[in-house]
Amino acid sequence: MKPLFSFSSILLAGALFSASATEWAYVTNEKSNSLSVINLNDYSVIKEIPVGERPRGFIFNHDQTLAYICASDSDRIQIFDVESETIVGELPSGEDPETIALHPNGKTIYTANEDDALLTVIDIASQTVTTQIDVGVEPEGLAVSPDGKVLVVTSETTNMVHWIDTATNENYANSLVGARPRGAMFTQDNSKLWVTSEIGGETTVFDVVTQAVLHEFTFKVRGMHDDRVQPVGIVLMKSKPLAFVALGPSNHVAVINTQTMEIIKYILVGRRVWQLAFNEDESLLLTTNGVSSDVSVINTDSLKVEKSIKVGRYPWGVAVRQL
Amino acid sequence: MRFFLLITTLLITCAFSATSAAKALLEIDVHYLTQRHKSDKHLPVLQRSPANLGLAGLQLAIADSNTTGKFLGYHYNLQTHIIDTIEDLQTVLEQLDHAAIVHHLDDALTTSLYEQTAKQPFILFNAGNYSANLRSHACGDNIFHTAPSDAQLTDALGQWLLKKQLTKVFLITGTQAEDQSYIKALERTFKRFRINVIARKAWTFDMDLRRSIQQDIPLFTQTSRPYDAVVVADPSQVFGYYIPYNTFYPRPVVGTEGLIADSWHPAIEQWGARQLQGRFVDTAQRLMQAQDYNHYIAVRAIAQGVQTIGTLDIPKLTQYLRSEAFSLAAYKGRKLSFRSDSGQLRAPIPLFHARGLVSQSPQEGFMHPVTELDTLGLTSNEVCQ
Repeated sequence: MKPLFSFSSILLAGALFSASATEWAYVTNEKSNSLSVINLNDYSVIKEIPVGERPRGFIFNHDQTLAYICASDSDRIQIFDVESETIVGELPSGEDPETIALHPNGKTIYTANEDDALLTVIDIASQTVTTQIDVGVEPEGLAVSPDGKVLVVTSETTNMVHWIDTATNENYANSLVGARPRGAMFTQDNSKLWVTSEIGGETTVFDVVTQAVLHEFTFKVRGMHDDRVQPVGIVLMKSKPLAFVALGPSNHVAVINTQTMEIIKYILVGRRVWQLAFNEDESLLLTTNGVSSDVSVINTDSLKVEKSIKVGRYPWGVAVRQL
Repeated sequence: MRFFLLITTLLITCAFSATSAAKALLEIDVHYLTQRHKSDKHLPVLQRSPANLGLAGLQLAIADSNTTGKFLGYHYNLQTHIIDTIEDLQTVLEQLDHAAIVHHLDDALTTSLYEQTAKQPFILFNAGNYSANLRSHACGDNIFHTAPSDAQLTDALGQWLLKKQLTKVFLITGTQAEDQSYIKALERTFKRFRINVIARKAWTFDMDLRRSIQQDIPLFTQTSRPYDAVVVADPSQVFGYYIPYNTFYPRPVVGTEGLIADSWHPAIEQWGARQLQGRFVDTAQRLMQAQDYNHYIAVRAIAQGVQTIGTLDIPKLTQYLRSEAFSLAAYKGRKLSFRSDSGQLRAPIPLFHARGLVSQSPQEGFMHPVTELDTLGLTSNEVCQ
């Protein structure tokens, strides 16, 4: 309990400091073909910007001047200029890009081509495809280790985590996980990988070096049949030993203490909770809720929902930018 | 967890070859037993089914399983056998041993298949026959049904009628032999959910030839008391399409026309289904129908089992697929499994009209001690008699 205390005091200081800074959250709306922009000071939706068809994965570059949007049905990754709020270019993505990950060096982008069982490696500077790697059926979750050495992709219908060496772009190992793996995230120290399995209802923690399974979580939400508890998005907090797992149609986010490896809370959010993102100081966690077409804002101190914000239809991806 | 060790060892062996498009270590045959496509030229073009109905689903599942298999060292091959008579069946079965069989055969041939394979190590997947009889009378650990039973479909519909408080129905039945299973299933559902059939007529095609459909159907559907809905039982699809918008009372039409319950429809896009629909259209050059889905699931179940067990070991596979450990992700928003008593696939049943998804049963509020999915279809008292 002790470390938690000191963490929260740091956080409190952080929250006070950041109160003056303005943050905007960008949410991709899968069915409205748009981005909703939310001002996190007053939780108002300040604009909705039209983008390509079926926008899903969304990330910023390192200095947050550009964003990359997977416009799945347009078969391209769009480059969005944050200042002018216009699409300024495209990256060659292969068909149906769904998710996207940026290498820590900021030079390479990875995208999962869900329809073609491929992972595409794109060089940003030259806007060319470096290579395409064969992976399982319906690749989805992508994660690059913070040191940039390892890339993983989950394949939904093959039920695997594919491990790829980023130096050689070689697939060097494959691990079977629960049915329909979706999200993946490395710990800050590169040692562990967390993977969610939507239909298997599990979250698996791997040792990165040996690919051995260290821990498996299953979830129980009161009043919900186990079949509806479907882990999808996952984020690991840097400032506190906490992991948050979005549990899909059970409409809850699970909170896990990553030191004791215990599930400490289930937070009720909107319907079919999907992806998760923190703001810069991690005082807030945003969730996209596909079916109810809103975003829930969770206070990571009280672990309570502060606000639900109506956005476009079927919000999918979310990322926060500092102004 | 307990399978994991095995899988990790397997993985270590094939990890080296994984990237260099692994050599197939294990060739697995899936045998498909099907009848010659029956002529349906007597039906309007719109009602006819494609010649590769079902088969296209198998082919896609084989391709999907091979994508997975290349990481694990498996390769699946589809062997198709056309069966028209019991003799054909004998000839094919004599050549097989320890085989995984997916079949789409009529009641008589299916029953014969069950009898002929009762003592041999075969695993059987009924991917096309909906007859509730096969579930209530056939009984064997090696028997699985990935096609829904008529009872699952009519219960899905019954729950929806109850939910909508449409409990007074007018039933119109077909007279073909192959309609009877569906009609019996409807009768069972009506009794089970206390839906009142306030009038019932059989469509016999002996209407007055001087009248058009537009004149004839209102007369045919005129009853002394009004009904809440018309239930059409015409699986042969010979007259059902006359009924919507022509009924005497302006009421919804459900059953095999209007609002239909079946395992799949091209309008389903949620739960990752869009990807499956897209892959299917790319490979088959047409939309995915319910029979394609039923066939697809059969191969996916085999592949998932082999992935866990490591080989095509029929007794182990049979045991695993019937156990609680087995679950399949198959674009329905929740995990699918097989009932341990009848081998019937447990699955939500979508309700749709020609161009869209309306609902999905089980409807909220229908409870079951094991899983709500078992509120659809035959109960454990009704199977394996």
